[in-house]
Amino acid sequence: MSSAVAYDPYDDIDNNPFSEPEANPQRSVSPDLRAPDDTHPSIGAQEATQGNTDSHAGAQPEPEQGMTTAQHGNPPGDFPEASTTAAAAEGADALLPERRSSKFQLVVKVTGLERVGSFTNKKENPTVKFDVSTNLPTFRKQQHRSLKKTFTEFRNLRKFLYGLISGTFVPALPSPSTNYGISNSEDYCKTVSNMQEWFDRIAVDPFILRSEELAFFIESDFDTYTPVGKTKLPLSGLKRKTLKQLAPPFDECLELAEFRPLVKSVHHLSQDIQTKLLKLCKLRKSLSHDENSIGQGFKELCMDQSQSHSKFYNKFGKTLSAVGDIDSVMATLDIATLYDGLEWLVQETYSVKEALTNRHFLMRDLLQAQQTSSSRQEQARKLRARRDVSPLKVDEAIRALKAATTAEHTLTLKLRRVTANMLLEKQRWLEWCDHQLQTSIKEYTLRKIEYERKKLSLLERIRADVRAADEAGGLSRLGRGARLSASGVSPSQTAQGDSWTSDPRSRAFEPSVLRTEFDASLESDTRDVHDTHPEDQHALDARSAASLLGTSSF
Amino acid sequence: MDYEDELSAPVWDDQGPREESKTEDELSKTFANLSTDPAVEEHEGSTWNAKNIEHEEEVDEVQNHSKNLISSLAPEEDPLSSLSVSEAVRSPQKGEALFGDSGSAPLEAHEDTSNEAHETSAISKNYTKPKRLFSSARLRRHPLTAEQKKDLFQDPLASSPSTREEDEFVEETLDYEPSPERSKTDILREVDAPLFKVDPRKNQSLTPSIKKVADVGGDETQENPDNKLLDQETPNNYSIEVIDPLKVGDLTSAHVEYTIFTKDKNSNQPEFKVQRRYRDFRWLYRQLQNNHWGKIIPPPPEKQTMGRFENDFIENRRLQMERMLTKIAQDADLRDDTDFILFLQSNNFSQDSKVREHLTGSNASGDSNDISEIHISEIELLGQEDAANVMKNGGLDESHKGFMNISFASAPKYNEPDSFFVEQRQATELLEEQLRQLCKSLEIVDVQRNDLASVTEEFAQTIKALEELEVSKKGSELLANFADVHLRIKESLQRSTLQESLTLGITIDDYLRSLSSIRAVFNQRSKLGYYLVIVENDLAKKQLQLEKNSTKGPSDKVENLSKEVKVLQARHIKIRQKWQEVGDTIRKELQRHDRDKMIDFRNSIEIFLESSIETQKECIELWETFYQNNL
Repeated sequence: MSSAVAYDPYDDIDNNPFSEPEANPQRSVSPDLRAPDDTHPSIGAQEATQGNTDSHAGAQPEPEQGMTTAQHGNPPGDFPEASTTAAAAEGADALLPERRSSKFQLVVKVTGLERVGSFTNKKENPTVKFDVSTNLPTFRKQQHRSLKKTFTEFRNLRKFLYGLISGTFVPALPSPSTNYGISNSEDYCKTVSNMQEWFDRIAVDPFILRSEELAFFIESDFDTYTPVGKTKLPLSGLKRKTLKQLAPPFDECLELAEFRPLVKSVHHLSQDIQTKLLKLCKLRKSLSHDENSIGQGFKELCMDQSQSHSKFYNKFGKTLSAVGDIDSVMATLDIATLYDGLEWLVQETYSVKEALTNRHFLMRDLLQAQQTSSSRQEQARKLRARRDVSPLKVDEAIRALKAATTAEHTLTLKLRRVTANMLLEKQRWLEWCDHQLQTSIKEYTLRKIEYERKKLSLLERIRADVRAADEAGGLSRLGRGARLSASGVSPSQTAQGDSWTSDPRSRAFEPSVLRTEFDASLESDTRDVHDTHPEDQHALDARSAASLLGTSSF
Repeated sequence: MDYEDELSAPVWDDQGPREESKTEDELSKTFANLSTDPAVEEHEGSTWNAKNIEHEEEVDEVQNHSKNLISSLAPEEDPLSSLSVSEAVRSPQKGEALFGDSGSAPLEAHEDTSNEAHETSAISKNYTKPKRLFSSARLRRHPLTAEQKKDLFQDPLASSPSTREEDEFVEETLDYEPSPERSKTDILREVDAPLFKVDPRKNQSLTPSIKKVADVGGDETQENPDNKLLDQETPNNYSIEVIDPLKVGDLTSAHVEYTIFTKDKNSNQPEFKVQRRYRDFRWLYRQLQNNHWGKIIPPPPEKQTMGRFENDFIENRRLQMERMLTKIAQDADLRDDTDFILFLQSNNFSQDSKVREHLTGSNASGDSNDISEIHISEIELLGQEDAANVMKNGGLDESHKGFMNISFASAPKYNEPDSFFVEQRQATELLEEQLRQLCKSLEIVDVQRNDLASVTEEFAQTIKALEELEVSKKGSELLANFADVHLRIKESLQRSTLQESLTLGITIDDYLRSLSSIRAVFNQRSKLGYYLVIVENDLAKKQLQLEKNSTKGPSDKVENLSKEVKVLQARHIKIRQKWQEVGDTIRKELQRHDRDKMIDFRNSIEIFLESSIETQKECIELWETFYQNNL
């Protein structure tokens, strides 16, 4: 909030003829004290009073008028109704001087990630390592190398920024670990790239850049950062909850008025998708378990089935098991790609939604302030109409009026800044949202393709055996022998493309799909028989072991 | 991607004998040979007719010394002979095994074809060219049996289509009507055949892992002494369909009736249409079991009390019963069984069946749920008269029981003397257990796949809902397609699940039931053995009594006893004979059954594999397309 106030062009306004040196600070507090009473009137009443104020502003030949027209002549409601983004941007330019220049830069490069300590610590609180280069005046020096911050510190920072800067959507933090499972390279890369993305998003937001807190955060020592000073949300706790239940105040900016329910349903639907996905993956895992048991069943079949085919059954069983394993891997990857991607989206939509709620509270505050100031004006008018009036009372009324008007100005301005900024942010956020969704779907698809291909190559490898097991049977019996024996021996996926389609693939063929993690287990059938023998030779029976141990070595 | 069509359609396609599965270089080799030969042919063209007669005459000589024949028949046409002789020397066993398999064709067929042969060879002069080429090549390559040689010389044209048919399509009830064009091409194939016989080996030796398995398979066929026996099955003339399941009867006696539609190509009354219910199929099973001890009867589907009238169940049962009838019709013995014919043809089945049942004492309608349980008919065992006696006393096993049905002596126990049966029985039980496990896992997978499909659909619906929010145009398009892919994957999943349960599931289910049929056969043997022991005991007892009494001198008692002993001896001999017969039949049947089932099983595995490969390809294609279009 400090930054917002710092750039208030009306901050030093002193053209009020009633203005006097602030003598009685208690007076200026008085509207605040009354505020609770004013929150209660219904919206209709509020709007009526608002209309009142407007008419009064027009009717009153007060010196104050200049300011009120400035205020009401271009109220926030004027442009957003039919506003295009361009108009908003124009207005925003005036309102948001921070946006005009991009002279400040913050470049963060995330270089690494450390997971140490207990399991939960590893999982929930990894340490991020990064380099920073910046020209922000808030920083003490321009280059910072190999900084280390724990995830908890990041959380603190985000929470603080979120409370501090109400006009912007502070990006939500990505989750500290992925569902690839910690301590593997995929998880490492993904988390690092997520953090990098977060920093990039932070760095383009002028409000966040200008806040001192960022500098405090970056320049503090490892694991020592705590927010300097307390910011609190406009409202919190029960009151926030209660107010959220009420119908939102009339929003002149239709775009943003519609945005919140949209974000909210995106939030809920994403969560829905997540649960469905989870269910899907759970099912797939148990399916893979049962596919495994089918494979096992075939393997057992070979034990006594006419011995000539035992090898074949064994191999077939193993292949089925491996296919089952691939299913389970796929389930994990599904979660790791799409679920995690959606998880960030869910977090993000939540924070955006809350930011928009905060704006609603701001609007409520403004309505209150408008009411207060109009009632003050009324009072002042009454006083003026009376003949016998004590100068003391006049003073008091004037002071109260002034305070109320200033508060109203402040709030109006703030709301306009917030609205303008949010309109810009919304655009950016939607882009990000799209991008995020696309990335996670893309990852998901790529993984899917990779493993489906692996599955196919596994199945095709056993195909030759199945066919060879029965020369006269199967498909050769159906007259397809000639066609398939040619294609059956060689895998259908090659660098030249897939045998079943002539469409060229957009991506290069990866020969890795022809190998799988389970190849070792498939090939092991011949070896494991021999492996046991050397073991046996060296194995000691109890007696000889005892005699070995019993012989004195001294 | 309609792979169901692909998989099912060619079943009816009786084209494509084995020769097609050979590589091209081999083909070209053959053609090279062919191209050299015509030159020789032209050279000899004028003397051809004379030579043709020579052929016929020399047939007898051929049997004695084939090498002589080669030189005398084809002295100058020998671009191949040196080569092929050496080949024959190089791998005689391999070629023989393979060729012998197809060569040991049905005996009946030989007779048929030999008749036709004389006619066709006279008419089709232009066919003789390939004939000569073919026969000489074949001769050189394989040291054949005399009979086979003769056959080949007489006319490959006539014999080839019929032998092929019978070799390859024993288990299918298909109509074989070789067209004239086909027989022509078959000649050409036959020409190529000897060369090709070597090919599979070469092919497979490219990949060592395949060769291992393949060789093992080849060895099996080589060692199997019962090949001939198994191949003896003539193509059955029945084509049986079980159709039109219809629910009949009122609430208490509701049941489903199936129409059985039989076409018999041999009999003068070619078509029958009768109504049968499930119970009747079980009757048939029991009756056949009773008529053919030791034979493994194709079993009917299991009994089921709940949900009998659901469509899926009825359809499934219909299919299983059709398979049962088809299988029965494939077996030469069972096919001609009076009860089977009665079942297929009788219009007054409920009466006739009871009569037959009483006549044979099969107790077929006193049917227990367990397929493996058996009933040994005394009539069948002992003949009409003796059986009546035995029945009067309450059956064979009653005789040792004492007064008031209380047995004082412990019942004699039958121990199987032949370890073969014990082992087989154990193996069967083990196999059954394993298959049951497998079947259960398959079922679970089936259920889970279906769950997966429905959850996938839910997932897609949720994605669609997100898409409908229209957060951004591009995004919602992406999501719409994403949801679409999932829906299609769900469909493909459902299809593959169905496919799996139709192939592997049904095969394993079939296998399981036929295993209980096997157990029934074992039960028959042990029951007979048990009777044998009882009768032996009785006999011994009576003989002892006889000896005791005869020492006291002749009397009525002695006479009675000796009469009884005689009866018992006769009984003993009969039972022993039956017992042994059953044992022999079981041996043969087991071998046949093992082979049949193995083929079935492998086939379904192959189909399963192919279909899952196709599904996999479909899946990859879906994702690739999605990726290409959207990302």
